[in-house]
Amino acid sequence: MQKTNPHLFLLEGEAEGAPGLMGSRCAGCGQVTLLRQAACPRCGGRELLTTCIGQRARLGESAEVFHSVDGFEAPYWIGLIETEQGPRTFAPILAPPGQPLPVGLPLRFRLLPHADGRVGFAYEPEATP
Amino acid sequence: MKAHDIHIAGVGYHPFGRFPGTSLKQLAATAALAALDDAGIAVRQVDAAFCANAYAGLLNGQESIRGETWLRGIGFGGAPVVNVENACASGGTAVHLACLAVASGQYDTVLVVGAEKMFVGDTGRTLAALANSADTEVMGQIGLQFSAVDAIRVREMMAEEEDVGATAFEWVTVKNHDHAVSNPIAQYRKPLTTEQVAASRMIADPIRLLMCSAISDGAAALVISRRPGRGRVRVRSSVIASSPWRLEPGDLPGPTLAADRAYAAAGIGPTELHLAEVHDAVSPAELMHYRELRLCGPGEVARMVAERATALGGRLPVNTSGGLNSRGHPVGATGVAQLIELTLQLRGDAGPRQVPGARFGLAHNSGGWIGEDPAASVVHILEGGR
Repeated sequence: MQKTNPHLFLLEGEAEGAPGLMGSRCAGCGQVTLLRQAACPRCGGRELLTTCIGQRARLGESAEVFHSVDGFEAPYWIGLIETEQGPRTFAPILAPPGQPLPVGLPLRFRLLPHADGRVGFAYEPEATP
Repeated sequence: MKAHDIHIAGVGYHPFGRFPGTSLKQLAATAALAALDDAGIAVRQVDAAFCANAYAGLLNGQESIRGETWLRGIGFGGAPVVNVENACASGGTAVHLACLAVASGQYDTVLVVGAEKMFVGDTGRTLAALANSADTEVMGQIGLQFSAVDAIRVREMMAEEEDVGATAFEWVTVKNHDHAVSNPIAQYRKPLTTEQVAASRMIADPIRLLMCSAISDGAAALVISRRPGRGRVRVRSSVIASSPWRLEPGDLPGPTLAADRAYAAAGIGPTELHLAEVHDAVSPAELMHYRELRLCGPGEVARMVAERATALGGRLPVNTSGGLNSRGHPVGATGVAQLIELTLQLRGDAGPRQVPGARFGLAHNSGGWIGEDPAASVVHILEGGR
């Protein structure tokens, strides 16, 4: 299965706890970061373990977008999310148009098939907002 | 700047806008020659050149040696050309390198040229090029456009600033269009009404079409020298911050890191500024930058707007050029054009938009996105010697 962002998220079986976002955990200080990193930004340690993060997250601010791009048909939502492990990033949010999304909304990671056959991801509310 | 004083000895530009019959080379050459003429020097007197551009590889088919191709046609040869790419902060970054080169004593006089040609007959291709200014592994293929990044950042500000919303965003858009009316470099020189702004199409809530900086062709150039030019405009500080790792609550964002270092290096504080040019890729972001650059304190944005403090005639005029929103945003030229505006103001050459008695000016140029901040935040503080 081809991924839209091979270095950003993990499919089931690719790491313990997957699917979710790809992260790194420092063996020295425990700092967790998004993506596979070569050195820890906190302690400089070089022993980092690839780990799956962001299975759950909370929504920060978000914006409803009214211009289609990348196969995302407007209107759609983009949000700043904080993963339960700490790292923050932007992500597509699966939510109906026209209803503002509350900060702090609990989210879960979900794989998202694209029309071109690749698989992407988005976050969806744990409960209907 | 410690070793040698650094002066902006000349400025030049090609107007910003849509110029289908003009090549990137021609845009850059026009600006470069105008800057040399303004400084009163010949091309032979330039010791090195720093050339800023972001997308010529993707949009114009010139991935490498961009600056060499621009400057060959003005008789420049033999001296070094350094090509600089740092997304929308390419221009400010080139100026920073030029300042270091002069301050070090390596060169007496250098040329900075920023140029971009974004109208290529396919808006989708241009927007796709702009999207390359983020970490594409993270921000590609997820439906993210820079307008959405800005919308989310603006919403973060709205959550912390009472009474800052659509009315303030419409005001700042109208203000900057008013400022641009007398700026010959500007892409949009017609005033707007708040009603026009409010009626324009929503792009990424709360950002509307007329709040966005437009695709643009254009070029801007500076002569930077140990020797002063007209108005004796001096670079008091030149700072770049990359996106910091924000691992602890309260860690400062990149623009604030850059601004704090620039104030410290210049030996002045934000209350001593007479004007500022800030990176309003969307006009509401200007309000956010007031806080990030410490032009006002937390909770004071609404008061800045209510007092019209940042309009011409106000306490601290911001984006007297019209800003990116009205002057236009040919990416590689933007950071250079900001310093042209400050230089003209500090020389007393800004015409109807002159800030009376301007002595200190700040420019903030922002580029790309990585982590939780712009990939590059560049801050310059200039002092006029009138």
